[in-house]
Amino acid sequence: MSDPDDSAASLTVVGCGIRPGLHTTSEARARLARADKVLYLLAEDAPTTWLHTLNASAESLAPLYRLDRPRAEIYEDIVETILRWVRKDLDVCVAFYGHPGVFDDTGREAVRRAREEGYRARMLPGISAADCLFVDLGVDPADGLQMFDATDVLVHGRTPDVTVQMILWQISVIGGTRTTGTVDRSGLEVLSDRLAELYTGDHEVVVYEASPFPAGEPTIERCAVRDLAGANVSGLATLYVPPRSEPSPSPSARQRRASAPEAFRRTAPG
Amino acid sequence: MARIVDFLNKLAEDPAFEARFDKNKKKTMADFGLNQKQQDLILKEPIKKLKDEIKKELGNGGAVILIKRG
Repeated sequence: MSDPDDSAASLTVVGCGIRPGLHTTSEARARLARADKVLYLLAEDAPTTWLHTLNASAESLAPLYRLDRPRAEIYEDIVETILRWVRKDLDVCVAFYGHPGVFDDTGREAVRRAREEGYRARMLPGISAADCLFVDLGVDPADGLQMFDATDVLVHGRTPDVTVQMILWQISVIGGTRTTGTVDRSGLEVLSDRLAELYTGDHEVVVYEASPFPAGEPTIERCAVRDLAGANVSGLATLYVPPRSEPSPSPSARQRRASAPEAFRRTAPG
Repeated sequence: MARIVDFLNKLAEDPAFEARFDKNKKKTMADFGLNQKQQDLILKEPIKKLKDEIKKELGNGGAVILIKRG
């Protein structure tokens, strides 16, 4: 392709939010409605009819998730399926559940490859599970927030800052690289042991899942770190770990405080 | 008897209907044709039970976890 502006071919990747339909922005709806081809991956089998009503070309990517298939292979298939439609000179819109740029390997890669091949491609934001967690648990990310893939924390021996709240993603499939329909309890045990080292076994954590339906309440289960392996963990559950303690005031900040601007003197610790 | 799946689709595609549901949940569900058991599944039961019921309605047995990364 020489000039992307001369072609109808384009890719827009949108997020449908956690409650598809309700969480889907007007901007995303408009792109979905006018696209030549819509592909989608939603967390649940329903509701999806609304997408087909919005655009009759809508087609689910979920059949690519066959049981026990390597996930890396699935992600590659998703990206190439998307690109195949774009290469047909179509205006393609892909809808993912949640936010397409948050904890999603495929949307960003599809946009990258499409641009590399000379197509117009962009991503529009959606409401992520983290956004839902902030309101359902009443926590503010501006207090400081660290987020990791649960497997990544264990594999790379990460040491989180225990004075800052933390979200751990994908706690149901720790260490797994293939599709599964069941929660891996052994992975949760390993995570529980690691968190007990960092936070103590008594530390209370929250197993959280926003309702993926336009009705229903979120799942919020509080448990001690030591009881995590036996907790009510669902496939798309997220773990919220509150800070263990307050941060300590920095001595150097205290020393600099006298000569600092007024606003800093009001907020600096100590 | 109406299906829960159809009710959820209606909520997803019709903001006015969702607003009505938000204001008066039981009446909106009853008017749609959902029976007491279905209403309780939506309002009172954990998400997992609702997911199981939806699978039954759609005839989907062994769904996999649709993870997007890693």
